[in-house]
Amino acid sequence: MQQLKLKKMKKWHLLFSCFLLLIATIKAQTNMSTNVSGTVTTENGELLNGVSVKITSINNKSTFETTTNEKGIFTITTLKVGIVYNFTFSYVGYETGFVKAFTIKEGNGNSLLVRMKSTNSTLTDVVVIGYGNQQKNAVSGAIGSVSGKDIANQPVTGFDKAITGKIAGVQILQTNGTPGTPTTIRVRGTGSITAGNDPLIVLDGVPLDRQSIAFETINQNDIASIEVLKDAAAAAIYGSRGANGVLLITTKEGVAGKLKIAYNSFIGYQEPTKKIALMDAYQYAALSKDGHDNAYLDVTPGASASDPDNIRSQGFMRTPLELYPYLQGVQGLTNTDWQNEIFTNAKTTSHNLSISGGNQTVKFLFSGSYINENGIVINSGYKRYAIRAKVDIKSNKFKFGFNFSPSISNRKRVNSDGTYFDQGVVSSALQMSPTWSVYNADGSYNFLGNGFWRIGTDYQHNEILNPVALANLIKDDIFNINILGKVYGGYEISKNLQYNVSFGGVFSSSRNDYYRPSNLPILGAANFLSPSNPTARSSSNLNYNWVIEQTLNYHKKIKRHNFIGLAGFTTQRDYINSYSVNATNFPNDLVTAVSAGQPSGVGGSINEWSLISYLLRAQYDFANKYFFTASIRTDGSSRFGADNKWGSFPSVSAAWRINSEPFLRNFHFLSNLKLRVSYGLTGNFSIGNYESIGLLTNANYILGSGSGRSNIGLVTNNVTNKNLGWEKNYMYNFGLDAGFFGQKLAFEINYYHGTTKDLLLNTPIPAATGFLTARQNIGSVINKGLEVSVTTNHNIGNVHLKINANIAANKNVVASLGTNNTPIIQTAGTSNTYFITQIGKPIGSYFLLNKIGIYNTTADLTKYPSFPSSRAGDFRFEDVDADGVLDVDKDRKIVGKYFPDYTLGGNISLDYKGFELNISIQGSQGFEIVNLQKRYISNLEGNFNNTIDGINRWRSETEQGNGVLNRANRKSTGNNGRTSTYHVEDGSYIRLQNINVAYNISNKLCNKIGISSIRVYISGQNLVTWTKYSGYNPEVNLYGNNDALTPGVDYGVYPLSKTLVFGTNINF
Amino acid sequence: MKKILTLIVIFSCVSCKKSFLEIAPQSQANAESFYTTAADFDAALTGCYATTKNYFNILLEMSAFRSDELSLISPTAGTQDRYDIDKFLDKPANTIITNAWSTFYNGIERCNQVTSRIGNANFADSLKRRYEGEAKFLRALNYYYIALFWGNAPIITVPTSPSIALTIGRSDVQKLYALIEEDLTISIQNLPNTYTGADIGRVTNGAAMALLAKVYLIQKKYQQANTILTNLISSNIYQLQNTTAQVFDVNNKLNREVIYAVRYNKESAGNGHGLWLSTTDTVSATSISRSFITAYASNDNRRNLLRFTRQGTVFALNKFNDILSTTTRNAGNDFILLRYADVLLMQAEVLNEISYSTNGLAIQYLNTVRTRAGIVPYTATNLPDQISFRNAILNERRLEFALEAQRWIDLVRTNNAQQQLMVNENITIQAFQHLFPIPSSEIQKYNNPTLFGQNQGYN
Repeated sequence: MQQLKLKKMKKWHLLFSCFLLLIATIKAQTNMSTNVSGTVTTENGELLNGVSVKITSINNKSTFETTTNEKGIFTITTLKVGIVYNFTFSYVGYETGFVKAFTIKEGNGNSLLVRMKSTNSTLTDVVVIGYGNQQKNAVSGAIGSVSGKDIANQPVTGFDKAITGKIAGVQILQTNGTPGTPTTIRVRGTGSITAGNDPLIVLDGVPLDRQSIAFETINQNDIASIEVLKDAAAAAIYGSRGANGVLLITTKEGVAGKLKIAYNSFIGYQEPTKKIALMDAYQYAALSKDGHDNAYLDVTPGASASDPDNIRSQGFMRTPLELYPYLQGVQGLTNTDWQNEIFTNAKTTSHNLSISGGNQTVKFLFSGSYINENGIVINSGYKRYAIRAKVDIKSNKFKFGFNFSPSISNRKRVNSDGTYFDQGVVSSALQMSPTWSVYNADGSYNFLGNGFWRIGTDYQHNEILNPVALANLIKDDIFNINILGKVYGGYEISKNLQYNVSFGGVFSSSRNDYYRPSNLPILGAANFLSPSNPTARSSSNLNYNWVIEQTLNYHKKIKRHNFIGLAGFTTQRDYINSYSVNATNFPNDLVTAVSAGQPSGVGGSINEWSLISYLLRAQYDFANKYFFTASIRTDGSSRFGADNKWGSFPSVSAAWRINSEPFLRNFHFLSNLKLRVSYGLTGNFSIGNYESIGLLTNANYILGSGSGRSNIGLVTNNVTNKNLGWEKNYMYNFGLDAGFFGQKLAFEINYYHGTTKDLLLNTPIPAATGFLTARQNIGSVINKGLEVSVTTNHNIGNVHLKINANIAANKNVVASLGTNNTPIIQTAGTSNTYFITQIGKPIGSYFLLNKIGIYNTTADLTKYPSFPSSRAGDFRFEDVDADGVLDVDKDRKIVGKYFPDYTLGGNISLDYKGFELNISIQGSQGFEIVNLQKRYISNLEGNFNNTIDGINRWRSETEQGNGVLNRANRKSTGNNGRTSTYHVEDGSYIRLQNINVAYNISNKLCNKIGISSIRVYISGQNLVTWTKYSGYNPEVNLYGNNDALTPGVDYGVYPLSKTLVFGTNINF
Repeated sequence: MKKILTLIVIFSCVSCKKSFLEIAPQSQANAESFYTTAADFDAALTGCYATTKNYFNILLEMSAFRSDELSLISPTAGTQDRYDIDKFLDKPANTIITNAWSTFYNGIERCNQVTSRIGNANFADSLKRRYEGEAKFLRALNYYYIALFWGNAPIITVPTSPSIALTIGRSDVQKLYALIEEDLTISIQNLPNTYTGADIGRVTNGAAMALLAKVYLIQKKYQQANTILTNLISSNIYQLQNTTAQVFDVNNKLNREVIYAVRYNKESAGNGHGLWLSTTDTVSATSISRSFITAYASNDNRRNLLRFTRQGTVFALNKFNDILSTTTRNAGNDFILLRYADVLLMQAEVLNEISYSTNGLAIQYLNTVRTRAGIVPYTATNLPDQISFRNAILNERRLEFALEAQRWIDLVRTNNAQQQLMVNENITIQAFQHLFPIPSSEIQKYNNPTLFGQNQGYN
C-alpha cells in the first residue's frame, strides 16, 4: 500500500515537471516493455496524419493513446511484453479500424500496417451539445456545427466572421467595418423586441456575458469546433439564456504523441469594398446654383434665374461667390475627392504559434497570437495579443485540467459612424463640398466648410468639419484586457457515474482615453475657425464573472438499451464597475490626459446580476434506432421582479434512424435516413439588471443667491414592476437527415416554429402617468422557417471535391402586443423616419410615405393628389388612404423590412494533389435598407455634395431627367426631404466572402529542411458584393443593435474592407 | 457510497444562501428607500423645478413661432415641425407638440410624488408646508400650459399606474382651471414672500398670486383677479426696473421686477443653454417677423432688444445676450415667466374690463410701462373707450413681453388670434386652431375616442 502511494506521488511529480518543461515525451520506467509502431494509410495507400490510436490491454484495462505523425506512423513505447492488446483507430471521415488481440512480442518486431476505409461520413463525428457530447447520428435536436478546419486561416480578426454563411439559420451580420468590432449574430431570426437577440456564447463550458469577450480572447486557429444550438430543445439546457440560440465554442486541446509546433501567419492589404460615386467640384457648383436659383424663383414672383445675387433678398437665394469660378469653367481649381482623403490602403498582419503534445496522462496546448489590423479609414486600427494554455490530465479515476487565456488589445477609433452633425467622419467626407481643400497653404487643416458660407451672407450651407482633421486630430484609444480561465476536476465514482466540478471565470477591464484638441473647432458657424476648448474623457471599467458548475453524469448500457443521464447545479455572478471622468480647460494640447485639464463631470455605475440553476437531462436510445432526450433547467435570476424570480425550461426530443430498420437494409444507396422532432421552452433574460425596480435619476436645478449653484434633484425614472419575468420561447422543430452513397450526398432539413411569449416590451403608456413607456411582459412574436443544407463529397480521380450549400428562410411575425394591441411606432435617425411594429408584420417594419414618381409638369399637380407646397419636379407620393388629399401621417404605409426573405451560404472546396481551392459565398435576399444618407448626398438641395446620378435630375417640364430624381432646390418643397420610399432601397446581396488558393509543398521538400509540412496560400476576403444597394454595405444596421424596433438604418457607417492576403501554415 | 453522499451534500448546500438572487442597485438610488427625509423631499422638489428648464424651447415653438412674433420662411430638414406650427399646418404627429405634452405631464408626475407622499414623511411641518406649496405651484404651472394649449386634458394628482391611467379620460378644461386655482391658493397660503441665501429663486407667494391672477384673467374672473392683483401691487415687494433692458441684464438677475424665473447658470454643466435666437446672418437668417419689428415706434427703447450684437462669429439677440462661458460654451440667461410689468398690465386690463375709466388707475399702470420704454404716454383722447383701451393693452403687451411666451396666450384669450395673424403674418387660421392637436401617439395608446378623443378640427 505504502509503495503504491509512493509510486503515485512519483507519477504526479513527473507529470508536473513535464508540464513545466513543455516536454511531451515521457519514458516511463517499467520492466520488460517494448515498442509497438505502425503505419496508417488510406485504402489507396496514402499516409494518414493525425489518426487517433487507442490501445487497451485485455487483462488490466490499461489504456494508451497516441496519434499518427505526418508519415502516418505511430509509436507506443511502454507496452508490456506478453500482454494482449486491442487497437482502435479513429479518424474523421473514416470508419473506425480495429486490430484485436494483438500480443506484444519481445524486441522491435512489433509493427502494424492499418488501412482505413473512408466513409466520407460525418455521422460518427462527435458534436458538443452543452454539458456533454453526442454522436452526430444520435442528435435529435437542431444543431449546426462547423469544424475548426473550416474556419482556420481565414484572414479575419474574429471567429464570428469566419463562420459567416456556414450554418443554415445562423446569420452573421457585419454591420460595421471598424477594425476589431464583433459582428451581430442572429440564430433563427429576431425573437425579442427589447430584450436583446444575441445568442448565448459558451466558451469551453463558460457561459459568457458578452460576445466581445469571446471575440477578444479567441484566435480562430485555436478553435476545434463551433456548435450552434438552434432549436429550443437543444438550447433548453441553457434555460433562461437559450431563447436566442447558443453558440458553443470548443478550443483545441493537445493530442498525445510527438510534440507539434504549428506556425500560421498572413499579411494582407485592405481597401474599402466600394467608393460611392459623387459629383466633382464643377458638377457640385452647378447643382448648388440650380438649388439656390429655384429657392429664389419659388418665392419671388416674376423673378428670373439670371437675376444677380445682390437683388435677391435672402442668403439662401444666392449662390456662394466662391462657386462662380467653377460655374465659369475655370480649370485647375480645388477639386477634392474627400473619400480618397479619408480612406487608405491598410495592412493587416497576423501571427499564430502553437505548441502541443502530450502522452496518455497529460495533454497540453499552448498558443500565442498577434493580429494587427489597420483600418481603411485613416488613423484607425486594432491590435491584439493573446495567449492560451490548455492542460488536461487524466489518471485512473481522476481527471483534472485547466485552461487559461489572457489577451490584450488596443483599438484606435475614429468617429466613423453617424451624420455630419454627429461629426461622423464618413458622412462628413461624403457631404463636404469638393471645392474646399484639405489643408491650407501653411499645412494646417482647412475649416472653411465649417460655416464660411453662413457668415455675413447665410447661404444656408450646413457646416461640416474637415473629415481628415476629425479623423486625425481626435485621439480615441481603447485598451482592453481579458483573462478567461477555467479549472476543472472529475472523479469516476463508479463505472457508470462520473462527477465533475468546474470553476470558470472571466476578468476583463477596458480603458478609453479620448481627447479633442483645441485646433479642431466646434461644429458650427458660431465657432467657425476659433480654437475650441479641448475636451477629454477617460473611462474605465472592471468586470468579473464567475461560474461554478457541478454535474453528475450517468451512463449505462444494457444490451441494446443505452441510457445517459445528467444532473447539474450551477451558480453564476457578474459584476461590472465603470466610471468616467470628463475634463476641459486644458492650457494647451501638449498633455492630453484628463489630469491636465479641469474635471467637468464624473460618471460611474455598478451593475451586477446573479443566476442559480438546476439542470437535469436524460437520453435514451434503443438499438441505435430510436433516440429520446428530455431535459429541464430551473433558473433563478436577480434581474427579475421580487414576485417572479424563478422559471423552469423543459424540453423533449426524439429521433428515428429509419435506415437502421430491417425493411430498409437492402437499400444500400441509402446511408442515412433520420427523422427528428423536438419541442422545448427557452428564456431570454437579457434586460437591464434593475428594471423591475423603480429607479431615480438626476434632474438638477439652479437655486441660491448670485448666479446660484446647482442643486441635486432626484426624480423617478421608470415604473416599478414586481412581476417582471423572462421572455419565453416555445419552439418545435421537425428535422430530416438523409444521406446517399456512403454520405457522398447528404441533406439536412429543419422546419421550426418558435413563439416568443411574454415579451419584455417597453409598452407605450399614457404620458399622463409621467412616462412614455413601461417595461412589461406583454405580447408575442413568431419566428418560423425552413433550413436546408446539402453536402456533396466526391473523389474524381485525384481531385477531391466538397460542396456545401445552405439556405434558410425565416418569417418574423408579431402575434400580439400590449394593451389594445396598439402598434408601436418609433422613429430613428430623424423625427420622421417611422418604424412600425404591428400584428401580422415583422418587427420594426418601415412605415413611410410611398414615393411613386415625380410631378413632371404643373398639370400633374392637379391631376394627382399633391401637398400644398408641391411643385413641378417634386416627388409624387401615393395617396394611401385614397381620400384625394396627401397627408404626411395618414398616407404612410409599410414599405419594407430589415429581415431577409432568405439567407444563403455556399462553400466549394477542391483538392488536387497539393493544391486546394476554397470558395465561400454568402448572401441575403429580400430585405430593405433605410438609406438616410440620401437625405444629404441625394437631397439635391445644393448644400451638400451629392451622388453623381444627381446630374440626371428634373430640370424643367421639358428636361425631366431620369424620372426618379427631383428638382434642385435649396428650400426643398413638397416633402421631398421627408423620409419616404425614396430613401428605402433593396438590400439584397450576394457576397464572394472568401476565395482561397493554397499549395502544400511536397513532403520530400519539407523533410529536407526538417519541417513536416508547409502550406502557402493567397486569400481574398469580401472581394465582390453583388447588390443594388447604393450605400457602402447592405448589412448596415446603425440603430438596430440597440433597438430591435428600428433596424436597417444607414446614416453613415464605417465601410467594410476587401482584403487580399498572403499566408502560410508551417508545421514542425 | 459515502463519497456520493458527500457530493450530494456539497451539491445542495451551495444554494443555501438565499440572498444570492437579491441584488439592489449600488450606484443608483431607487424609489423603494426614498421619500422619507427632508433631504429626500428637497431633492425630489428640485426635480420638479428642473422640468421648467424645458419651458423655453417648448414655448419658443408653441408661443413665439405660433404667434406673430417669429416666422420661418421655409422648412429645412430639421425644422418641418416648427414650420408646420408656424404656418398652422400642424398635425397630431407633430413631434414638438408630442414632446411638450409629455414634458408637462412628466413635470406633474414629479410634483405628484412630492404632494402625495409628503404627508407621511417625518420632518418639521413648517418645511413640509413650504415644500407642498412649491410643488403645487409647479404642478399648477404645468397644468396651466396644458389647459392653454390643449384645453380638456386628463387630471392626475397622484402617482398613477399605466392601467389606471388608461381609464382616466380628458377632463373639461374648467376642471383643470379649478385644480390650478386650488393648488395656487394653497401655494399662496404656504409660501413665504421672499427667501434668503441658498433658497433664493424658489417660488414665492407673490409668484403664486401672479399666476393665479393670470388664470383668473384667462377665465375672465375679473373681480377675483382685481383682488389678488391689488394685494400684490400694494405689497410693495416688486417694482419696475428703469428700463426693460435692465430686467434682462444677466448681471442683474432676479432683480425686483422678476416675480418668477427659470434659473440658469452658464458655468454649471447641464444648467446653461445655447445663445437663444442667435444667428450668423442678421439680414436673412433671423426668424423675427418683419411686422413685429416695425410695430415698435422708432424711439421705443424696447426695439433695441430685438436687434443683434456681434459676439465672435455669431450675432446674439440683445434681449437674451450673454457672454458664452469659456468652459461650457453656454449662456446663462434666466427665463423670466412672471414679472411686475405683467402684473401692472394685467391690473390695467382687469380694471378696464370691470369698468372703463378715462383717467383711473388702469391708464396710469399702462402709462408707467409705456413711459419706461421712452414713448409718449396715452391720454384719454387716445383711448376714449373700453375697446380702444383693450386694444392698447394688447398692443402694449406685445411690445413689452416680446418673445416671453405671452403673445400666443394673449391672442387666444382675447380672441384676437385670427385677426392679428392675418394682419401681421397674412395667415388664415380657424377658430379650432386656438388649441393644438392632441398628440396622435397618445390617441393611439388610449384607442378610445369617447374617453380620450382628438381636439375638434384635427381629426
